[in-house]
Amino acid sequence: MDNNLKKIKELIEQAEISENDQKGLILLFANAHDEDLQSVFDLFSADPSWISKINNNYKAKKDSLNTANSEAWKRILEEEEKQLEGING
Amino acid sequence: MEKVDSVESDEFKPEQILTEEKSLLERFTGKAKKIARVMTIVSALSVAPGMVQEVYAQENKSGAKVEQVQSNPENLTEASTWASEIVEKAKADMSEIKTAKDADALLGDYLVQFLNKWRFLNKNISKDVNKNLDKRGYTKEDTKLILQRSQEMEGILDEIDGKFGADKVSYSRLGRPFLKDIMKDIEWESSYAYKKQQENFKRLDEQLNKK
Repeated sequence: MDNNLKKIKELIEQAEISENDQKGLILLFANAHDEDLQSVFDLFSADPSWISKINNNYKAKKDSLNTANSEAWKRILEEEEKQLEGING
Repeated sequence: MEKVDSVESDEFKPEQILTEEKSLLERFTGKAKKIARVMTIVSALSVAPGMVQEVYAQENKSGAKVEQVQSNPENLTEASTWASEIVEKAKADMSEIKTAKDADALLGDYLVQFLNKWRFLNKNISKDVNKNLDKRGYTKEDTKLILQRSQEMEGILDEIDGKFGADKVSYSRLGRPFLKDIMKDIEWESSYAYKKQQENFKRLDEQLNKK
């Protein structure tokens, strides 16, 4: 149980993001059911550079939610689409 | 009447934004699809109540509740005496400042010393400046003192900017963001939100280590 979370935690702790960001991200994923975290583990283990990108994505979403800023949220979604199109393209 | 775009929106509902994101990202395939799934998980967890709310407080450093800034001299260690020495010298020299050039010279000495002391004391601990203040050998009183002195140093910058204009004193313009970073770091690590985050993290660590 909690196997994915444990593995994700280890990956995040090695990532080039601040300790506070590491903790924030681990605590975020700690809220999920472990089976839902399989995709997170797959992504982070296959390409650790995504830890930092997902961290930025998470922080932007937090800011947007904290201020109920729908415009900021739209910009985040646009940025997500752009990132994903770059991969698909 | 001109329509004004409102940033605060009543229509900003968690369920709605999650559905929107999901449908927006559904068209992707392969690796992009997997990443899209992680992005939507992050969104779902971000809007979830409970522990995530604690995490929210992390980034909202300016809103974090800060304990009384005044420090008790009896509990100070040598680790923080530099902050008082530098600020007291800067205050004493303020009476000699007549021009923007004088002000720049004063800040070029004392503000730079202050910022470098903070940075120097951090660099052997971690590349991450915003990292556990207690690991530097600071007592709680030390961090209160450094915060207090940082605020006083900011007061000196305010006074100088008020007299000469911020754009005329380059060390004020360049140094202020770094000074604010010091204060944010200390305020955050002195806050209730930080304490709760550490408790949550410890609990999580214990749970994971049991397995």
